[in-house]
Order: sequence, then C-alpha cells, then structure tokens
Amino acid sequence: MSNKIIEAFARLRKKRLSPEHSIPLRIATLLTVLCGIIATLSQEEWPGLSILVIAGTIAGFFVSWIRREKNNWWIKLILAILMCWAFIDFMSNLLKNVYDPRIPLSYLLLWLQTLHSFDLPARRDLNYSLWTAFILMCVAGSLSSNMTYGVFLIFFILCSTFALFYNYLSAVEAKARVALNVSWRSVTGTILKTAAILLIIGGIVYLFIPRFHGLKIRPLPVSLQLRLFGMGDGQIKNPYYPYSNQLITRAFDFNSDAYYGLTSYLDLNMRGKLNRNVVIKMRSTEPAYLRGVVFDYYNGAGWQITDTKPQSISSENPPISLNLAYPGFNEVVQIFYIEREMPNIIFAAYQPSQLYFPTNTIYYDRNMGLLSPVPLDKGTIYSIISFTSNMPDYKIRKLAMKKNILPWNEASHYLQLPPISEKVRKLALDITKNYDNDYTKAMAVCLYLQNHYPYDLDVPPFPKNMETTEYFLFEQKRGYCEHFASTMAVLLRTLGIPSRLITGFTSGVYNPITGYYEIRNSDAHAWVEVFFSGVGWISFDPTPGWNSLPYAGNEEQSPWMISAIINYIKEKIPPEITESLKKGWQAFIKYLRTFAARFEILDLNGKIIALSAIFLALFSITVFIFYLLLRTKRYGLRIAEFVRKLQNLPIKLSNGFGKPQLKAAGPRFLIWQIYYKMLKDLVTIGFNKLPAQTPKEFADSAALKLGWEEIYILTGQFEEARYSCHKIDETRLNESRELWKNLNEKIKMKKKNGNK
Amino acid sequence: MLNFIFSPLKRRSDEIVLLGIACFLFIVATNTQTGWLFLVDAILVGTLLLGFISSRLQIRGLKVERTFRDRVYEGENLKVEILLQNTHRWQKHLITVEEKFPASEKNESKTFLLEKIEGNKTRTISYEEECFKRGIYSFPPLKLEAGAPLGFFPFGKTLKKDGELIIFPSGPSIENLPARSTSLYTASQNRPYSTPGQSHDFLGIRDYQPGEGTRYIHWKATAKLGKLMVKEFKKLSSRELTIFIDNSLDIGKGRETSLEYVVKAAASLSNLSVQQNNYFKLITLDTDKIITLANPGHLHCMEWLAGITPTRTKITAETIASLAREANYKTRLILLLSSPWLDPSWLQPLNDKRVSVKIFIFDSDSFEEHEEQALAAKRFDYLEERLKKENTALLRIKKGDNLKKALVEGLSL
Repeated sequence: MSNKIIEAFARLRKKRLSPEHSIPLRIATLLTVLCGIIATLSQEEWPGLSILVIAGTIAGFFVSWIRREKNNWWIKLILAILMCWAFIDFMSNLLKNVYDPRIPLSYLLLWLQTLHSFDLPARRDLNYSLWTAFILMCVAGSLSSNMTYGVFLIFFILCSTFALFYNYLSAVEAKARVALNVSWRSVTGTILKTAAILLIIGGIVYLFIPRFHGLKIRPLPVSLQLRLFGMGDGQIKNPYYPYSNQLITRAFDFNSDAYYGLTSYLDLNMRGKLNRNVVIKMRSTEPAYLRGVVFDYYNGAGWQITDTKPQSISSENPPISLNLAYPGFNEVVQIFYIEREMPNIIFAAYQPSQLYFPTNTIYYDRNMGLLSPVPLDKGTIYSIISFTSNMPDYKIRKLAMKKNILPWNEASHYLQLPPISEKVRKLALDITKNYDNDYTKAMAVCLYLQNHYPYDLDVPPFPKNMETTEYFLFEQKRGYCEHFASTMAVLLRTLGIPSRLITGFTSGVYNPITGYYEIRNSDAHAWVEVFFSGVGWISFDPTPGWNSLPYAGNEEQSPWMISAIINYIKEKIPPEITESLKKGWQAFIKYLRTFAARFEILDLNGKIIALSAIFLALFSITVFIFYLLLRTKRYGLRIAEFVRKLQNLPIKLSNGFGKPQLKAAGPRFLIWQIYYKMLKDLVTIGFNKLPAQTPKEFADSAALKLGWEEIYILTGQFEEARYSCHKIDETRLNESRELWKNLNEKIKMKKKNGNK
Repeated sequence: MLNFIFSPLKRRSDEIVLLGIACFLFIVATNTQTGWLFLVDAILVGTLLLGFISSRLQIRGLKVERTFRDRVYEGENLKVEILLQNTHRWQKHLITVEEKFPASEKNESKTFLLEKIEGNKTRTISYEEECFKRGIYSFPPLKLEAGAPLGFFPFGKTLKKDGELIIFPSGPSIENLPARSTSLYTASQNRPYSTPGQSHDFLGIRDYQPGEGTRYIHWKATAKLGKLMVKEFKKLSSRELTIFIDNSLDIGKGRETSLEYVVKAAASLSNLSVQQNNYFKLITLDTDKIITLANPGHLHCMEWLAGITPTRTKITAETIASLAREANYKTRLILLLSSPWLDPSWLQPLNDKRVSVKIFIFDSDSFEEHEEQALAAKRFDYLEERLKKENTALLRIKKGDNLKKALVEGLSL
C-alpha cells in the first residue's frame, strides 16, 4: 500500500509542468492583470485595498519568477489558507446584503488574483491569471456607469494581445525546442496591428449583437438594508428646497440644481433653467416616465397634494409588494442608481408593483406616489417592477367607451377646480365638440395644445391677478411642460373628466455602451394622468415635441445594438441640425420627384430615385478616389500596371493577325524586341541561330546565304542598343521598324515560295 | 458539415471554454442590461474570430518542397532540405513544420519553427539524420501548423510530399573473388549480355559526357548530328556467379539481424562482381517462388538489395532445385542462409550441373534466443560434417563476426 502511495506521488511529481522562463510573457501577463485590477478598483473607493492588491500582485509575480523552478509546497499551503479566509470573508459580506453581490464578489476576485500571483511557475498558471484578469474586467464593466471604463478596456486589449502572442510564442518554442530571438520592433508592430484589427472586428460584432429584454433573473439589486420600522412621517423632504411644506405661503428661490416640482406644492410661476447634472442612472427594460409627485388640487396659481397622511407599508425582506389598483399589461423592470442626494421620493413607472428598497418601510399616498422614510443619498440602489398600461391607441379607445364612473369622494378630488373663466370652459367644449368619447376628448385636448402653443422656457412670470390657465391659453400662448400639463388637466376637469398632474422625470438618454439611461436635472418633466373606466389612469403628455401617450407610444425597440447607437448619436446631435438634415432630405426627395415627372418617368418612388442619385454620387466619388490613388506612388504604380495590361490586351488579342507586338516601352528595349522577333521568324525558314554564335556571326552566315542586308543592319542596330551607351532615339527605332517591315515581307515571300 | 464545424474544436479545450464564457457573458449582459459587458463579449468573440481566421491565413499560400538525395548507403548522414515558399504578399509568422524522418533509429518527429516568412520569399529548413537501416522508405506527409498571432484555433495542414528514399546495404569491400568458372556465355537460350567496357567489340555510339576524353569521339556522327558523339565498346565478362539470399528469417533487432547480415554479404559479393566485370545473378525468395536479378549494374543491384524483405517461406528441396535451374553449367553458387535447416541431398541437382557451391550460414541463435536453439546447433554440426564429405564449403557466421574476414575465408575455402 505504501509503495502504491509513493508511486502515485512520484507520478504526480513527474507530471509537474515545466517552468516558464519567458520574461516578456510574464511582464505582459502582469500588465494585463494590473489593468484588470485597476479597472475594478477605480469603480469604487478602496484606497487601502488598492495599495495592498497592486503591490501584492507585483510582488507575487516577482516571487513566482524567482522560485519558478523550486518546489513551493509551503507557498501553496499558505495561499490555500489565505484563499479560504478570503472566501469566508466573501460569504460574510454577501450575507449582509444578498441583493447586491457585486462588491463582495469584486473583493473576492481581487484577493484571489493577488494570492494566485505568488504561484505562477508554468505557462498554464500564467494563462489562468489572464483569465481571471478578464473576469475582473467583466466585473469592472458591470460596476462601471461611465465612459472611463473604455480607456481601461483599450489598455486591457493591448496588454492581453501582447500576453497572448508571447504565450503562443513560448508554446511553439517549447514544442520545437528552439529559442527564437524575436526583435522587439517586429513584435510591437505585429501586436499593434493585431490589436487594431481586434478592435475593428470586436466593434463590428458589437454593432450587430442582439439586444433582448433582460432583467429576468430576480432578486433585483438593492443597496444595503436599513431596518427602519416606523421611521419618517411620510412627508416629502427635498434637501434643495428645505421648506417645501410651507411653499404655498413662503416664496423661495429657484435652485438650478434641483427640480422644484418635487415638493408638496407646484408653483406654476417658478422660472429658471435646470442644469444638466446627472441625478439618476437607470437600467430599464424599456424607456418609461418616472413618476415623482402626484398633484390633485389646483388653486389657480399652482398645484398641491391633498393626501397629507400617506399610508405606510413594510416588509421584513425585499420585495415590498404593492397592490395594483388597475390592470397593467406590460412589465417594466427598473434599477435606479442615485448619483447625488435626492428628495425622499421613490421614482417609478406607473403602476409600481414590487419594490426592492434599502428600507423595509415606505409610504404611499392615494395617488400611488411613493415616499422613502429617508432622503436618497448618493450610492443608493433600488429596483422596481411596474406594470404599465402599454396598450395601442385603438384598444384604449374601445375600453374607454363607457362613461367614467368613479366613487363620488374620489371623483371630487380629480374634478376639483377653482373659479374658472367661461372662456376656458368654452374653449374646452369647442375643442371636443366633435367627440363623444372621454378618451377621444382627452386626446383632442392634448393634440390641440401640442399643435397650437409653442414650447418656450423663457416666458415671463404670469400676473398674480389672473388665473394661470386663462392667461396661458389667451394671453401668453406659450410656456413649458408644467403649463401645458396644468392647462390640459384644467380643461379636462371642466369637461368632467377626472385628471391629475404628475411631476417627475422622463427616461433620459440611453447610453448603449454603458447600458444606463442617464437622467439629468433638465429631464425633469410634468404630464397629466386621466382616468377612464375599464382602463384606469392613462398618462398624457401635451407638451409639444413629446409623445402624446408616453407609455403606450413605446415603439418596439430594434434588437440590434447598431440601432441603439444610431439613436444615441441622434440624441447627441443638436435638434437644429437634425431638423435641418431632415428638411434637406425631404427637399431632395421632392426635387427628384419633380425631376422624374419632367421626364415622364411614371410611378417611380422618390426614394428609389434618391438612392440611385446617391449611388451615382458614390460612384463618382469612388472614381475620383481611384484617380487620386493613381497619383500616389505605392498604389498608383500597381493600378497603373493593371491599367497598362488592360490597354495592351487588344494588341495581344490581335496577335493572330501577324502584327508585331510592341509594348509601350523605350526605343532601346523596342529595338531588342524587333531583333528577337527577327530571329524567331528566321527559324521558320530554317535559319536557326546557334547558342554559341554571336549575333555578328549569325548575321554573316544568314545574310550571306539569303542575301538580305536587312539582317545585317538590324543586327548592328541591336548590338548598339544592347551593348553600347549611345543614346537611342525614336529615329533609330523607326529605322529598325522600317527594316523589320521589309524583312517581314521577304520572309513571307520566301515561305510562300517554299523556301527555295 | 458537422466535421467542418466541430473539427477546429477538437482537442481545443481553451477555445471551447472561451466560447462558453462568451455565451455566458452574453446571457449575463442581457439579463443585467450592462452595456459594457456586451462590448467585452463582442471583443471576446472578435478575438476568437480573429484567431480562427488569422491561423488559416497563415497557412494559406504556403508551398512546400522537400529535397534530398534519394539514394544513400546505410549509416550515412542524409541532409534533407524543406523549402517553404510564401506565395502571398504579406508575411507569415510562427510556422511550425513537423517532419518525421522515416529511416532514423528512434523514429521520432522533428518540429521546426520559422519566425517569419516574408511575402513572396522562400525559407529553407535543413537537417541531417543518420540513415539507420537499409530499405526503401517513403517520407510521411509534412505537417504545417500556424496559430499566430494569438494562438487560438491553430490550423494545421498535412501536405503529402511523395519522396522515396532508398538506403543501400553497406557491406564490407572484398578485394578478390577467386576464379573457378571459365564460362563466358550461358549455355541456355539467353542471349549474350554485353556491357560497356574496354574491349574492341563495337557496341554503339552515345552522347559525349563532359569530362570524358576525346579519344573515342565519332567524328562523322558528330558532324552529321551537330553534337559530339563517342564510340562505345563492350566489356569482357569472364566469370559467372549466382548468389542466393535466404530471406526466410529475420532474427534480431535494429541493424543487427540475420537478414541484414545476409544482405550485407550479398552486397559485398555483388560489388566485387561488378568491379571485376563478372557476370552474376542474385536470387531471393518470394512467397511461393524465387526472384532472379541477372547481372545488374551497381545501382540497380543496390536498389534490389535494399528492397529485400523477409518472407517467412522456408527453404525446401524445390527451392534448391529452382536454384539449380537458374545456375549455369560449371558456374559458382553462393548460398547465404539464415538457418541450418538444409538437407545435403537437396544439393544433388547442383552437383549434377557441376556447380561449385559455397554455403554461408548466419547463425540465427547469435542474434536472438529462440526455442529451437539447441536443435539448431546440432543441426549445424551435422550439416558441417555431411558437407565436408561432399567437398562443399560451409562457413558459420555469428552476430558480431567480422563479415569481411568471414567472407574472404569462406571464399577461399
């Protein structure tokens, strides 16, 4: 038995891989690993850990190099113990918050990479290091929410290309048992080219990678749990507007850093431009408006919330489940990453159903506005599953055919109005006179406001003696989102259609590279919710330039990344330029149609004509580029040679007619051609120049026998062209051609007479 | 189709793992909607694609030629050159060439590594190897492999480059073969065979070979044909010899086998006959018959000897009778046997034709132990005694014996 054990150990020892001696491979692997480590460390603030991990990795690689040929059993033992400790630490951190394992996982991977770097004797171990570096880059990518990760990624690609190249070089050297002295210059050139090609291929694959709806696997991420049973009073607390509960009576200054609509009172006379600071980053299965505060009481100058005592709901562990008041048809999963301090409003698409929140208690009012017991600090993460009424227009129209029926106590909230001018009421009736359905009426009002009143942020304050809606509709005739939303809500209420005003944010701009929706202060918005029996509350957006039905109008997103990138670029281009491009394209199509009509080209689609014109333009550009390339030395010569061959093709084809084949070359070369042609033709009449004969000797013998002095003269001209440095010009060439012509005639005659 | 798809993945565990990681990464990225993970996944897929394509592009456009001297003697070092021509414009990097020399003792593959082959250029790999044992060998196909620059999905190509290598047996050189027979021509129906030589009998004219003397230039033919032509005369042939090679057994290992000794002895005797312009025949066994090679030139003889393989056919009376039919009247016959299982009575037809027989027995016991060892020893003693009575020369040669000395001794008996 003991012999068998000894034999087994002996076999294991024999199996030990040979150590890797290549220094460039180790350096490249170290750089790749450091890139992965630094990319991960830069996503969070870990100063102490950063120094330890980076220094430890460098030290580990050095120790591995020094001890690569030794039996390091004691190092392996220590590493195994430390790895067990790291794993236990990971588990304990994970148990503290199972809903966000990314940070504990990052910790664990960093420690594993650092510890593993002390035991890298063979090439296979260095390969494992590369793979863990790659996993670290993936973890860093999942943590990253900005574009700086791209810089790390480029460095990683460069370093890993080096490492993979040297890895392969080392492997083939070991197989062939040779050591190549590869020069740094050639290696660097090859690797840079490879990295560039890799980026191009990777970029093309990325453009066409499919995007499916995700966020299917639950539970969803949420930041560390705060056990706050019973804390908070359910009131809105906005740190940028500290006296928000006194806003009705107390004037306050506009703060460009925060939206004033996220308070308990919305003053329609507040003026100012919000800045473009990012406030929230969101992952979402689809774009959706984020509800913040729901206002249901209008006092003529602003809106306020009537439900001042919201109810609380608690859950021991996430999620907090909320009852859906009305049926929802489309599940939207959203994860929010708070980028700066925000009011204690829980933003979500309407209607929220399940909430993964750091506190186990939240508040909700009659209008399903959600409030957190504590303000949302930077770094807070929460997730929500909502069900939107994402129905097509015709369906809503059909379901909303019935007359609205709301309980009297509820209806009074959403039909409340202060004293309103008759002009306003009359206008509402005028707009909706042709419609009998509440839904169509609401849509008519929405479209009327969108089409008849322009959007303008720079409007002066409304006079205090006039009701806001009347002033907006008949005096000012322009405004921004709150004015439009408030006006629509008032108009609908005058028609007896329940409505309320919502403030919050739009879905922001989707960055396809990071995968986040970036919501800025300037994305703050106001819209209207209207009640229809059988359907529930449907959102309308009467602001010009926005979709009338913000939830129902979500188009089916294209499954390809390239579409998302094009949309992102479109978002980045100023709207003036986009508008100009659009107008220009339409004008171009119109012109082509007119042009086609002039020539009676019937039934041609303007777009086809446009595409043909574009094709022609592209062709012309290609020809022009071709011409430019011809003028460059490198490509021009090759293209010129190709063109020359094409030019000579007809001459070659006419060879069968016995015409002399003369290339476009210098006179000296052409005289040689003529001489060789002469020799070839003389063979056909039995005069073969022997290899040992000089041209003169052959000329003497042939000319003497045939009596043709052309042979003699041509031979002399050949010798001069071939061996002398005399200048050979066109005159001499023409003489040779003349002689050749005469000789050719004589040869033909001789052949005809049968070589007599 | 399945082979085309899956063959690159055979024995490529790293690439399979990376493909799996790419799929997993895509699922994670889709579920978490993390944009960067899509990009990382795309780059990983791009890396594998690039590795797949570039390794194939490295091999494409490579032409290979193998050159070597195809006729060598056993024990000589043979230089083999492998020419790799890059027919494309761009460089090829890190090409490995796997070559197996068929006639080496260890029969191991050699791997050569070329750092790069510039566009439209040729690189040469050369190596020298000892030709261990005589025989006719075919070079196995060359294997090219490339995986640069990343080492993923390395692509290999097997190029069948036919090349026959004939290794001649290297027998010791013997100075003289005592003349016993005076027969010049055969008494059979065979025509007299003439070989080029120094006699006065005109054989014909042939092209002048550079380096030859001008004495035998046929001037009339030269003038007529316009190129130098020389006269050729016959050689005299004075003695006739038949050599029988017993290839029924091949006992031993490597170069030290009974058959190798037999063939070496035959090679020595053949060389001597050629040098002395003697007419000779070589006879060996095939499955059910004998094969004869009559009076070959040196090269032809060596090639024939190189191709001899064991047949496992035992020598019988019929074999000796066939030999008797082949041997001419009053000529000499040398039997190179690898076992003593010969009945002296079988030699009667030879005696009837007055053929002088010399027997060399290569003692297979000395090459390897076998079951009938003791019996063979007794048989040899018996044979020696019987043949002595009939004045037939018999010599026993063992492994390790000086073959030249043994042959000379045997021939002088």
